[in-house]
Amino acid sequence: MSGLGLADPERENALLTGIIEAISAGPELGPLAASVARLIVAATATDICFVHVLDDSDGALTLAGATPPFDCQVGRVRLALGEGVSGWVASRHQPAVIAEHKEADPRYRYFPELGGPGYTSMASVPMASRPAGLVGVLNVHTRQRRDFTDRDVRLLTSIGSLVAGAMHQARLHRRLAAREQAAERFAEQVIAAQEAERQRLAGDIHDGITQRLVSLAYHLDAAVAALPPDEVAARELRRARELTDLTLNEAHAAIWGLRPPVLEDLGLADGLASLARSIAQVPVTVTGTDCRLPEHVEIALYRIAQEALQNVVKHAQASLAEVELRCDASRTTLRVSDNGQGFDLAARPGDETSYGLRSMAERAELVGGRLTVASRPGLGTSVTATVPGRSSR
Amino acid sequence: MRGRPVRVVLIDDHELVLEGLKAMLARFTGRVRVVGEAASADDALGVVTALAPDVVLCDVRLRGSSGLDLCRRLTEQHPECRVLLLSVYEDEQYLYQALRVGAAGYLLKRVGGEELVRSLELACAGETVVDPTLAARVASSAARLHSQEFWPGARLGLSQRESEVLGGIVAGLSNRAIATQLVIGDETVKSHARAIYRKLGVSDRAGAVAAALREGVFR
Repeated sequence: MSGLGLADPERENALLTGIIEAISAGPELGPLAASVARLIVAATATDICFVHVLDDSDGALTLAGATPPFDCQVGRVRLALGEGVSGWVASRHQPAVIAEHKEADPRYRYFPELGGPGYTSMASVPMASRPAGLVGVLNVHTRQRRDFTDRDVRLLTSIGSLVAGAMHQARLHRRLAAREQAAERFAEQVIAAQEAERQRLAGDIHDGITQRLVSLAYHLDAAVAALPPDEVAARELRRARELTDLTLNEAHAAIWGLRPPVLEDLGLADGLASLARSIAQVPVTVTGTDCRLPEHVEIALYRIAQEALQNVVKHAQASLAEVELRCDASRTTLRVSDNGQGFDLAARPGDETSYGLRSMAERAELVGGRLTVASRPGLGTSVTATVPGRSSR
Repeated sequence: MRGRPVRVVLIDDHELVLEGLKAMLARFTGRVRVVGEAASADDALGVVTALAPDVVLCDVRLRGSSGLDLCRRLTEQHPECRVLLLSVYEDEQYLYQALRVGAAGYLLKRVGGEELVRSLELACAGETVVDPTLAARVASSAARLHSQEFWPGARLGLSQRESEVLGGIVAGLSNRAIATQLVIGDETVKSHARAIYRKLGVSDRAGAVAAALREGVFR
């Protein structure tokens, strides 16, 4: 192939430069396809250009780029292989040229959104390269009748093979991005499902086991009182009552471990105060403002505080820790800090620490927030979660 | 102790608990009489209005609504009626919230018959009744806070960092010097200083120093 086949070497040079710029601009399919469409219209002196790209399933084409006014249709037009002229080109790996009366051509299919009747002539070529295989189809249309020559077709095909590799990369990139997004959604769903399950279990224990135990304790109390106090049966019933109280305590501990009711009943600030008191190893103070946030946000912040305080207990060797909750009009900030030994953020923290930090960061990100960690050897550690919004319930 | 028994209405969304309570209170007929019961917040308001009991014994959690909200409504609408909250949760935050919404006390559901009856009588007589274990715990945290075990100024509501910044201010350090000492930014020091002024009710550094010395924050 000697060049792209353009008569004017300057125009050919400009086209090549344009293609190089387009394919090195970035990994996104949309901008690449739009640039290619624009370059093709300029290089071929046509009126509009459509770039159809094969789907991941390789079973259909989707409009990935178009020159105005059809750029708004990108992503909306989809045709099966074999359907329409482009589908025919894709399935046969052959170019197609229609000078006029395309409605009469058996391959033609009318797409109202692509303005068929306004355009007289068209050329359609496969966009393919040896390493990438068939990636899609390039179409050009003119209002005035035009007899596309072999040279025109060769030019289009050459452009197609030049950009096919980049287009293929862009498809892979899009597929990876979608997969990553799905993975993120999955993590989100797992956390949400886990929280929902914990809440359900805690509710079941509260309404089922706990209340029955409470009732059992009262009946035992009544039975004990009905007997002379030194009778064997009375002693046994008192023992049974003690066991009931112990079991009740265990049920509470289970509920508290699953989903602290204080969070649901009294809100985040009280939940944090209760959490702080449950830490026996280090005195923890809680300061800040009370505010009600959406339930999933309160739970995320509570779990972050829980994890951060567990880190303080396990690693910080601190004598004090503080939990601070601040709400203003635009965001809510939770800070857990300690006066312990700190660590060097640049050095890789231990696996357990880095896992803890990652899970806190994930929780923050899942509710649209972020987590920052500040620490220095000898100067304590502070973990700050910031989430947007302060919608009261 | 009293001429006539305390008239009590029981509110709990668990039928079994209501039955248990009645069984346990049955032998105290001379001291306590259960005149009515309700299993939901909506029913409770009607029952209390109709029966005008001396004391309402109410679960903190009612399915679909909160016993704390109900307590607030009851004490607003029937100021003469005393509301004792009953809960399985041994947590100070519930106690504080209960007292804030006007409860006459906070008892744990593991309470024995004798203790419950005494509590009902005390509540009826206008006393505030708190589960003894929980009361002891609250007293000890208050004592700890008062002795400034956490850090200087904690009892004035200063955070640990604010206490450190106030220490610098009292020592006559500039914001820059405090920032360097604490390895934080100048702006952070300024925002801590503003929070300190607000919490101490002063408007400047001199005021903060005076308040810190007056309150004996730094000795």
